[in-house]
Amino acid sequence: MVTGISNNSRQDSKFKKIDLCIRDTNMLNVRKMAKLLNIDVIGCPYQEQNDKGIIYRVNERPSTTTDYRYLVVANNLEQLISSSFQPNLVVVKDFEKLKSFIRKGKYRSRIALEVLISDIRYQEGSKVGKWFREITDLYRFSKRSGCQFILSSGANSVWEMVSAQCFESIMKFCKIPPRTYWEDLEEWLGLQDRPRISHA
Amino acid sequence: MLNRRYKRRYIGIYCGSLLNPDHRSIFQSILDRNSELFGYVSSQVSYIKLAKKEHNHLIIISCRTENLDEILVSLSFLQPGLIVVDVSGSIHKLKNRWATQYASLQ
Repeated sequence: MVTGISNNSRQDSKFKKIDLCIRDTNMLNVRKMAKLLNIDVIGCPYQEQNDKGIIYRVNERPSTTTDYRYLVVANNLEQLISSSFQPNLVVVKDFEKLKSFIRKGKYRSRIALEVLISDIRYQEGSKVGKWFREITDLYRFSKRSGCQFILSSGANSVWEMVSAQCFESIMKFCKIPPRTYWEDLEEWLGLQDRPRISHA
Repeated sequence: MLNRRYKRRYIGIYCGSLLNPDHRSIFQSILDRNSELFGYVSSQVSYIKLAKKEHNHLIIISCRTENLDEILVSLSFLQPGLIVVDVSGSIHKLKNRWATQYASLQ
């Protein structure tokens, strides 16, 4: 009987497994490792060379049309105050601050709230426990407020990358149904991509 | 006494970031992290075991199926960074896949 990653990948082959934040610059190694870890779509900081299979994270929306996929990322909540800056996703570090921001309406609908595993990976147990509780709350909160929840590895190198099955195990502890999560994320990515395609 | 064995899962962990990995000390750090995150009782009833070393950069551990998610979470929150490359119900299949699909890592 074969179980685990190989079996799951067969069962869930229609769902794309996505890790939107890998900071390693060696794309060849990243792609190779992603394939081994059953990650189908990866997101990386923008580099000069364009790779159509990668979603690039940029700080500003490009002024011209692009032949690559990108997401405009806000690395802190203060950037959301500016009316001209309309990011696709915001990286969440302070959960309480984020909730007050969203309650005050300082966001646009369908914005994504991204949480990085790398922020907490090497922290002590009590902090990891608190992080799990906050992720559980944040997922419920994002569902209620119409935001997209994203869990990413935030890996600084290929050695910190997280396999699809580990992502799903983390989700289960946060009461996030993995299938729903992958489906929702893929749909959300498709919606973010639409304006770029229609302009091109 | 019931002669019923519980189901186990074998987890293939790649530790390519370490030049000369000490499997025993890495296994101990996995146990410590699992105990820290999920408690000593849970860690004990997970029956985590270290398989015999056959490849330098591949560590194979096994645990009860019911506790697989806990172990995978512990592995994701561990220092040094370890990569879970495969999970299987059979150690032979895991080793075979390591020899074929993951040959590029060796």
